[in-house]
Formats: sequence, structure tokens, C-alpha cells
Amino acid sequence: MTESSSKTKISYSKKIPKMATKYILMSFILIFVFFAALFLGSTYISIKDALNGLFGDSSSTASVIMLHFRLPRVLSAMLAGIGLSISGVLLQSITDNRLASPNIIGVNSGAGLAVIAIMSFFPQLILFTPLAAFLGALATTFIILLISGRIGQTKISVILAGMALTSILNSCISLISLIDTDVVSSYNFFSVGGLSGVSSKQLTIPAILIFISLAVSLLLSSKINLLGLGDGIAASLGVRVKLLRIICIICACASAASVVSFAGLLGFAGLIVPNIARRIVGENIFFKLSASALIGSSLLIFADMLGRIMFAPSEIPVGIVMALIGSPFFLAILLRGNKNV
Amino acid sequence: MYENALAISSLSMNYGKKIVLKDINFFASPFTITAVVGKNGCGKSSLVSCINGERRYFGKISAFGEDLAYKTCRERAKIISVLPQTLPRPHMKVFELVGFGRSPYIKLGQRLSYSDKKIIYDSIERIGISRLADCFVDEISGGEVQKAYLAMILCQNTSILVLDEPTAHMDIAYENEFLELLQILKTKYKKTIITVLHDLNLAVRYADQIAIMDNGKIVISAPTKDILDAEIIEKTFKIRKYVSEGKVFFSA
Repeated sequence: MTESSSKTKISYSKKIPKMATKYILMSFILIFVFFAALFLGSTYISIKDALNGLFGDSSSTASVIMLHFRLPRVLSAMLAGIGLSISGVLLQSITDNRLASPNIIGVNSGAGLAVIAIMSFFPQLILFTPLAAFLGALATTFIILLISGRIGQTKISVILAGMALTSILNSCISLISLIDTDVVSSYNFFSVGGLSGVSSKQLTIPAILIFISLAVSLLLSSKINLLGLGDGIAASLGVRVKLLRIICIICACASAASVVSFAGLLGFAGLIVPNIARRIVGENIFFKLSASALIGSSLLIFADMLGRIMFAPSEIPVGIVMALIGSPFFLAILLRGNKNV
Repeated sequence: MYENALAISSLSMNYGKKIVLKDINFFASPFTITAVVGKNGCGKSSLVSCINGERRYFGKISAFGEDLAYKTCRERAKIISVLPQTLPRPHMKVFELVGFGRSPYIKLGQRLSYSDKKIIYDSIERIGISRLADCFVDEISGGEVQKAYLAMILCQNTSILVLDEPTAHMDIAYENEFLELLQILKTKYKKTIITVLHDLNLAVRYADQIAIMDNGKIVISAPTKDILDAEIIEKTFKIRKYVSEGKVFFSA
């Protein structure tokens, strides 16, 4: 082997510790914000009481606040961050478009239409709003798959089908809100996205779906990487391109729909987190998925915590805080270097 | 030993109602370079996409006597590697790109083994781009990108390489260097190469066989010498042949 290739080998092997450092740092940030969000809130609870409430005496006020309010809330923020981020990574990878996110391909609008329809036409079924949101998002996914399958199922056809469907669904939402003005304020709360009142029970099914999607995506990450080289090269390297794209769309939509079911239309994380992750860990899908899960959950927990404590006892929905802190953060990352934006 | 490395018989393909390929019969002998030439839109790239298994087709494509229709995508990827005309420039190192060539041999969830990495380094070295291994693909020249992809399909370790206009965006010096490299792959590494070429002068200089396509059909597929003698190229492309210093050239 020549001298130059030996040098290559050395520099490649150095890559792992550098990557490991990044992961340790991201995990540390997640652990830090997780506990900060548990200990901070509108009611002051000392760290000792908080730990006692979490692991000890279950009848104290601190325990009730910790186990029934703060823990489910932090877990839901974490889950929402993971779900939206992996959905964004998958959609951006299969469409080769860094602007792709669950909002763009119509998943959020599908959920929104289902929710406003329940509020307006079947108000007695209001308790089933999360289920309706999930089913609406999932139904939209299958319609997108059907349409994009008919028009060729290329990278761009999925986005075009999604955008067309989004405008149809948004028109329907606007139509219902014009006819039934009573539902507008409740719908607005859902459309902004928030985590108040989320219970642990509500999180079970979404958590299962999100972790299955994450596991499947990580397992297929080496194949998804090849999709970035174009359908022709991916096929030449032994990938069943159409099947892989369908699996990715299902995983992306299932995880986004799961988040919609308990957090409303929190779409923004799905757009910015994958882009932040790409800047930190590069193009490899395995790294991008795992880093996005860590960054997305940290960001959502942090945004929700700020929303709870900034104007306590009043609350700002996490969707608004996310957009307020996420956008400047995202812009700062873009401005740090304009390469490969 | 098989008489034909790649054999295509009665191949037809259509996009909707438009027939793109009609009754294609074409054979590539082992360890040769076959150039597929023809006017724009005659179906060359469609033929490549059929060989790659991207499009549904009627007829039979077989490699070393085995019908590729009965092979899984992964089995096919161990026999034939295909480089399309447009090659993206992802933001990743050349080493990583070349490593993708090992994908058909790696099971789900597995990582590159020591022997895989050795094959990657060997492929990079064979193509002569060792100095670029640590460079980013989006930071090297167009010709170097083409070589990086060639190293990737060499790493795929297939007997048959199919290239769709690999020299389309290269200057003359790079074109000749690249085609010399294909000669080395053919002779030293025993590869059978089928390449779509737009430049007839290069095709007659480097290819052992030429297949001329016109309007979705193969007009003739024969050894280069026979093609030159039959004056098929002049008739199909309506151009003139002249010989200078023992070399054949075509000109409008």
C-alpha cells in the first residue's frame, strides 16, 4: 500500500473518537435539560423534595406534581422531539430535499382536518381527538403513497403529491372554520401545538410507534444512505428503491402522526433538527438519525421548560417557544458557514 | 467458460404507450469493452436502466448464462454494477463513497469488516486516487468524481461494469486517461465493460465491439473492425470517415 493510502487509514480511524465526543456532549445536554425541566416549574420544589417525590413518598404534594405533571410533560417533550426529528430526517433523505418535513407532505394537515372535523361535526367524540389526529395523519400518508405511486414515486413526486394534498386539506380546514366559527379557538390551540395536560397513559402507543420507527430506520440506515446517490446507483448497489422509499415514508408518517396525537401540530422541529444534526455529524443517516433524536428531544424539552417558567403561572405553548428559539438558533448555525446549506 | 458475459435477447420496453426499445438483441463477450453508440434519444440510457433492473421490460437479460429476472436485487448487484450518467456529489469523503460499493455484501445492521476496508483501499489504489481518499466528494473535480465512482463499482467486485456516458463532462486529456483506465480494468482485472459513448472516435479507438443504436433498435452489434469495414457508422450518423496516421476519425 502506498504512503498516501496509509495516511488515509490513520485519519479515518481518528474519526470515531471525534464522533464519540460529539455524542457524549449531546447526551450530556439531554440529561441536563431533562433534569432541569423536572426541577424547574411554576411551583418551587427543592431538589431533595423532587427526588423524594420521584423515588420515595408517593403521597406528598411534590410527588403528585413530579409524577403526574412534570415527568409526563418532560417525557412527552422528549418523545415529540424524537418523533418529529426522525420523521424529518427520513423525509429529507428520501426526497433529497432539506426543506422536507411532516408539514410539507401533508401529514399535519391531515391530522388537523380530522381534529377540526371531530370538533365541528361530532363534538360528543371530543375525547377521541388524539386518535382522530393520528388516523387523519395516517390516512394522508396512504393517500400520498397511492398518488406518488401512480405518478412515478420519484423523489420529487412524493413532495409534489404532499404539497397538492396539503393545499386541499388546508382549504377544507379553512372551510370548516368559516362555517363553524365556534371551533376556531379550540382548533387554534391544537394547531399551535402544546404539551399541557398530557398524561403518561396517552404516551404509551405513540412511544411504541416512535421507537419502532426509529429502530427500523436505524436498521435500514445503510440502505437509506444509498438513496442519496440517486435511484440508479442505489438499484445498482442492490437496494429495492421503491420498497425502501415506502418503508421510510411509513416510518416518517407514523412517528409524526404519533406526535400529532398528543402534542398537536408541532411541525417546526421536523424541519430544523435534521439540518442542525447534519451540520454536527455529517450526511451519514445512522449518525443523523441518532443525533437528531438527541438534539430534537433536548430542544423540545428546553422549549417546553421555557414556555412553562417564563411567564409562570401562565404558559406559552411549546410550538410558539420552539419557533421563537429554534429559528434564531437555526439561522446562527447557517450563518456560521454557508457551505452545504 | 461462457461465450457471452452479458446477453440480451428480444428486449422491449415502453414508457406508457411510447415504445422506447424494440426487440434488442445484443451480446458482450467476456473481458472486452463494448461501446454502445447512437444519436440522442435513441434509447441508450433506457437500455442501461433495463440492465440495472430499474425499469420493467419484456425479453431476457442474462449474465453468464443466468437470467437476471430471477435474481434478487442483491444477487444482481454482485454480478453487474451500473454507473448512470448523472453522478451526485454528496458531502462525504471519497473513502466513504467507495465503501458504498461493499453494500451488496453487507447484511442489515452489519458494519464494514477489516477485509471490506482492505478491498476499499485496494480499489482506490487501483484507480489511482489514493491522494483523494480523505477529500470530500463535493470538493474534487468532475473527472475525479467519475474516478471515485469507478473505484466504488470496482469495490463492488462484479464481473460486468455498465457505464452510461462516463466521459460526458470530461476534457480530452481526462477522456483518454479514463478510457485507458477501462482498458486496464479489462485486461488486468478481467472485467467485461459495456459503456455508452457519445464520441465515435473514442468508441472506435478503445472498444473491442460496437453496438449501434437507432430509434430504439440495435442496428448492428459486431467487432469494431467489422463495423468499420461495413461502413454502418457513416450511414447511420450521416458522417464521413477518414484515416490519418493509421487512426480512424469521423467528421461531419
